[in-house]
Amino acid sequence: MTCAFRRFGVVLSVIALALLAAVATPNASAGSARAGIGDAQPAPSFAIRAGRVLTAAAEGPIEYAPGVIVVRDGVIESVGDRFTEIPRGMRVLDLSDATVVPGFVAASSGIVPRRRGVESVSAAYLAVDAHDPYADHRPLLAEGITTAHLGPGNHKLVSGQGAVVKLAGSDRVLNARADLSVNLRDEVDTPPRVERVLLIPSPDNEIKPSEPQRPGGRMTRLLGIDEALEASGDGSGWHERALAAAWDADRPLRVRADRAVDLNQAITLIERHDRDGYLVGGTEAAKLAEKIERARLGLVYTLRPGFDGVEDLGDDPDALEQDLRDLAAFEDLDLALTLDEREPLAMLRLAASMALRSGINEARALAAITRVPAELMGVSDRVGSIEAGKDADLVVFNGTPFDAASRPIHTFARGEHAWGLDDDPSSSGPVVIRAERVWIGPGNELANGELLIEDGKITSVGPRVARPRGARLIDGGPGSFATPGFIDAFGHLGLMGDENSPGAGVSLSRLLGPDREHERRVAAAGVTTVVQSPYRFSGSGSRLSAVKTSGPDRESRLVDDAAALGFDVRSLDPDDIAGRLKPRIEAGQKYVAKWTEYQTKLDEWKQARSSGEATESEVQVEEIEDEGSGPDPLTGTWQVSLVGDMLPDAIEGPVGINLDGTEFEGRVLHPRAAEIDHRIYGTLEDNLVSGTLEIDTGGQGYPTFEAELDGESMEGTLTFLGIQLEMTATRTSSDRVEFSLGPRKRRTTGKDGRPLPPKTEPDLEPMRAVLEGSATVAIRAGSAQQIDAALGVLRDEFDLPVVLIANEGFTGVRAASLAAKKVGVVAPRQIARSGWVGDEYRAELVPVLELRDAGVHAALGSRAEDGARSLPAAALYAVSLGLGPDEALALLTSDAAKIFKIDDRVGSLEEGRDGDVLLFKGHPMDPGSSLERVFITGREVKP
Amino acid sequence: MPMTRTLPYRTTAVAFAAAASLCSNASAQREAGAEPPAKIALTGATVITVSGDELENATVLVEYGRIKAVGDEVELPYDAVEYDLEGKVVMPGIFHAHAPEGMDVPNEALPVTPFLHARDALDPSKLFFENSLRRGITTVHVLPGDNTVIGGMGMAVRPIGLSVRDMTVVQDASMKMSVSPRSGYDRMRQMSELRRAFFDLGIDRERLAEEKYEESLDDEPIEVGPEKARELGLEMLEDGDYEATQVDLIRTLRGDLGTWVYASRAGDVVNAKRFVEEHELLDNTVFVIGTEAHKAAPALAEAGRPVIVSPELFHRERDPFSGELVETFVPATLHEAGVEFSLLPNPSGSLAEAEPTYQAALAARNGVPRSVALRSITLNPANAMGMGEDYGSIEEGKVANLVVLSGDPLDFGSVVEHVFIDGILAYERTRDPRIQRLLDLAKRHADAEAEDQPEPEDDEDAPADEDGSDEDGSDDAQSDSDDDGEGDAE
Repeated sequence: MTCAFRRFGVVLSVIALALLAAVATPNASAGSARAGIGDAQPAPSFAIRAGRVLTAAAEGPIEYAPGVIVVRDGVIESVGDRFTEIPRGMRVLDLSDATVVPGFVAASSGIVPRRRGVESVSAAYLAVDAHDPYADHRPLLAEGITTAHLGPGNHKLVSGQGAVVKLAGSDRVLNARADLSVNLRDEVDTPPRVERVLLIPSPDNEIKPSEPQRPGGRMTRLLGIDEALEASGDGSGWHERALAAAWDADRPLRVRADRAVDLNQAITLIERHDRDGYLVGGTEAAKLAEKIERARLGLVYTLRPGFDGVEDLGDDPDALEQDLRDLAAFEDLDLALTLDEREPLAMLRLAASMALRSGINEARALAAITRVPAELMGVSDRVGSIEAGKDADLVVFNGTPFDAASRPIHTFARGEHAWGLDDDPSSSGPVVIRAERVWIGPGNELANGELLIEDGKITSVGPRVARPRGARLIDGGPGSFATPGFIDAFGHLGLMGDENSPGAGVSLSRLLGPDREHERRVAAAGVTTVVQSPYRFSGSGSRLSAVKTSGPDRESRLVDDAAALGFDVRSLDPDDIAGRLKPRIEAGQKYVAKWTEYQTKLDEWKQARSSGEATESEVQVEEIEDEGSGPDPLTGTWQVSLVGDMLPDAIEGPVGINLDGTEFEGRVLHPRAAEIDHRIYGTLEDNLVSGTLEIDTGGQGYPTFEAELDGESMEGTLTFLGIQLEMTATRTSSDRVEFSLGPRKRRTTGKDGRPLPPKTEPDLEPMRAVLEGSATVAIRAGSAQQIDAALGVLRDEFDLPVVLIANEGFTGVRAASLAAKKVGVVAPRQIARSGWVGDEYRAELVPVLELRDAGVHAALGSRAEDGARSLPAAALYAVSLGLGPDEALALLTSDAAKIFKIDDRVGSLEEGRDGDVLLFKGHPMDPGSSLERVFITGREVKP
Repeated sequence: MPMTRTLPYRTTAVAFAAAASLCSNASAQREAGAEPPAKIALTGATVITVSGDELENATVLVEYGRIKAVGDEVELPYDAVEYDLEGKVVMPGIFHAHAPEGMDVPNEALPVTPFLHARDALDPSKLFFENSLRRGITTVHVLPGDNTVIGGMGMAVRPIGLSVRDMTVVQDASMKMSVSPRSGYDRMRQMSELRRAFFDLGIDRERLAEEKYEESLDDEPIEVGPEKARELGLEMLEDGDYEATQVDLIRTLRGDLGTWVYASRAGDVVNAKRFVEEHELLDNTVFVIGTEAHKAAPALAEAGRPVIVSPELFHRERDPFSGELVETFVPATLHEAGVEFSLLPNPSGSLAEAEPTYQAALAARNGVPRSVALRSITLNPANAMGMGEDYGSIEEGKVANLVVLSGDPLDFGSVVEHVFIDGILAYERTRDPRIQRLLDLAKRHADAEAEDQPEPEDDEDAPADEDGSDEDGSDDAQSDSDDDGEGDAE
């Protein structure tokens, strides 16, 4: 049994670790069958269930709500309504809150710079040569643009050949030679002269003066093209040959013209040569709308909304007020919308949204940035609409695509996830929850409101909130009602039937890890927070923690580790209550005083240091007082032995204890154990010894013990992390023990004179929290006398915040006195009963109504583990008995949060609170209403 | 300073065979080497063969400039000069596969200059070659730089010899092109100009072919159509029929020369690949890439051609979303994709990066296997230059280009002690005047410090002992300051 207690420490550490490991192991069912969107990448075959699908198809339905899209190998296999067959085994992305539209097609872009080279007319410049198939276009993909036109520039009469490319994926080029780029603009006039550099001039190869180029002005533009076409015969130069080749290949003409007169010329050019082609124009195109429509030419209309700031436009025709109204009237006109290359292309959708002002309807605006440009550029066999056989280029929006606040949350290019949240949709990204009624708190309700939850917190509440990038929109729809998550004010979730009574140093929240099945069930019932309490309180007080019922880990589930310090006075004589409570409070006060002193010293030290005063470098040491002497029931040397299922062998060892008043202090006396100073301390109350053993447990807190003193022996239990060991001890000597370390000393200042904090005592931490106002004392009391006695000490003498955990016999008739003393009450589990109130027999006694009438803040506690899920039903019962529906909500949310002082985190939907939101259809306190969705810190809980 | 003239290898100049033959077969030209030197044997060293295992305590026997035998049981001829290299490491001569630095200016101002030849700009007296030798480089590929469309012809040289002819190993090694925009160009113009050069060549070739056919008829009437005439004439055309400015490009198209294409970015790799495929040049192509081009590693692997990595080995770029700086080690990416790559010393980088062995060590440190790292400065570049049959590893029958190091080549503490080129002892560290002068200086400095060392201990003697020739005034000053110091201490 040598160094038994050291070993004991090790054993406990091992047990603790094993326990924690078990808790930390993710629940097998946590990773549900739902497919993560990021997984779609390797084999892009999947199906999407969407709230709404806008197909932008030319023929057939343009909308399915809700809709299904089946994608196989990156290609759309089918699209249809909710009854569309999804092949067996195919992974399904549930995007039922979202709208899916085709990937946008940018009919112009500044992705490749204008070509260099002085030639006014050349088809030798290929925009595709400047294409970078490895470029990272996520900023555009994030705005839903999946396809773009690349042009050689609009600065030369014939600048070269354009291309159409995808912005993501491995095979991006859709059409390497999509068009011949013709520009009838002022900028193309008077190009520089062409000089030919000769390597070796000779009489046969003379140096010639530089040659001028067409066009000199508007009049000679078409002439310039015709001349170049005529010159491009055999024996001509590279650029002319290239033009001839492109012309012979019937490359469509893409004619850019700004002014009406130039557009007219453009139509002439295309018609005279009988070519395929389309126009790219701006404001003045409206003047020629009729002619363009008659010529059956498509029009790419260049928007210039001025997103990137105001600039002087001079006589730039686009400086005119942009108005598509005249164009909108021509419904047969193939109209595509694009952004001027000076504008940020990412804003294409927003620019198209603005076109709605001119009377263009949503369907046409969508087609104008999807199907129509795809058709004009000759790539509509692959992209531009959601139809069977086309590439699965899809954009998932968190709202209607033409709402400025909506944003894409996913973008797919040929089925590959090109941009978006890479987690599955229940991840904790930003969420916007919209409901017809938002119950923020009592008397504070918002009609048609929205909540923005970011990083688990509500950051914005109002009629319309921002949609940060990647935010999902959860629309509750008609009749929806959002409330804060409900609070179980007194429950035992996570204890798994463990009826121990741990001391105040033990936090039950340690038992929690990732949520378990039964915990999620509670969450799914709407109870998102539980004030977690042991079944039985320890005589020296027990700690109550506030925790979430669901979450990925302990850390994120913790609301308040010490929400309350609970005392049970039900078995005490009312006269003894003060004697039981006072020492704890006083010990707490001493402890707080130490911290206060430390804080004061620290402040002084900081001030001294910042003012440059020389600081004392001497390390101060305080002596820990050890007073008192003489034989008493506890002082002496005890031979202690521990037995338990977890221990292979009993552990024994001598322990020296000195009693001082009701408090004792001692050491494990084994010489080697003593080196590491295993301290033992606690209190002796009557014959109940309760204390803490300070051994190294790797930061898991300390074991506590309670034992009954019986003469020269004691018997009891030692508890650590829910593990119990039987403890027996006999006194071998009643001499006062001199600790081998002598009087305990500890440094109170650091090397630089900085005061060191006092020793943290887990047992006293909850009381400190109470005294500092961040926690409450929870009292379990039965009779009125007991309540009065307890309140006499707690409220009257020490003015501490108190919650009464009402007993089953609680009637509430004396609620007025509770109200006067500002005591919160956790109502009895039984909502209504019959019974005697004094001499009067009441057939129906409803304590919550009494409490309401008296103005007491009350809450409901389940007094159960996963039985907490029936808490909303209890509230409903109370409503049926006369409690106001909104009062019942307050009972479950704000009042419960207030009495446990956790209302800074939960209990309302105000800004800054946790994103715990319940979304009902109908008022939560209507029996016919259903709880549709539950969010805890912004994460949706799925049972 | 005429330091180069005093180097030992300059004094042991060896007579070379006649100039390279005009024969267009490149490998035949490589045969034209040095007069075979005596038999030598390097014994007792660790031999890194590159092509096979690393051999401990092995012997490399060289006869007449070629490796006769490698192994631990090699019988030495009685007349072999033996170098006992116990504890040393022998590796194949290192290649510098892309060295425009060997010329006075890397590129001509004109964009299309296929008629230029590195030979005309090569300067044997450049310090660059001397430094290359010092670093264990035995073959340098001197070729036009990257700022071009078609830059001209490159050649393989040894870093020894007083004339271009002495240095030449392969005279017509490569044609340099670039698909990445030269200064003042964009990618569209670059590609247009490159296509144009080949287009113009095609037009001229057709014209020449017609003329050739007409000539061959000796005034007989032409009886075939122009297309047939062109076809027949094309077969009759000889190199001499072309203009001097075009003949080298014709030879490139025929596959006589390596096509070395510079592609700085991944997108350029795609353009380069497409271009060489269109002109059926892929089988002779070597890709010279910039760091960003590592993104095209799969495309490069698919091409299956050698890749020369830019001297800068890390690619850094910002994530367009997060703004985070993302760093990629290019050789590791290439290796993972299965690309056979060569590393270059980085003369414009840090002093260390100028050492090819440092670049290889950097690769080994960042995820490239050691054997691949060593190949990337020896056998891989030799293969890229079409010289892999005779160079790049220590194998029987190969040219005896050998480097003797004091330790492992990837250990930065190792130094090059001997370099053999074609079996000639071309470099000896102990007789390298620059190194020796540096070492002497360092030694003198160290000695001086050692003498100074004990003095500060003794306050009294210090001023008197040090620099006795100093003026009194300075002595006083020092004494004063000493006194002050003591005062402070009290």
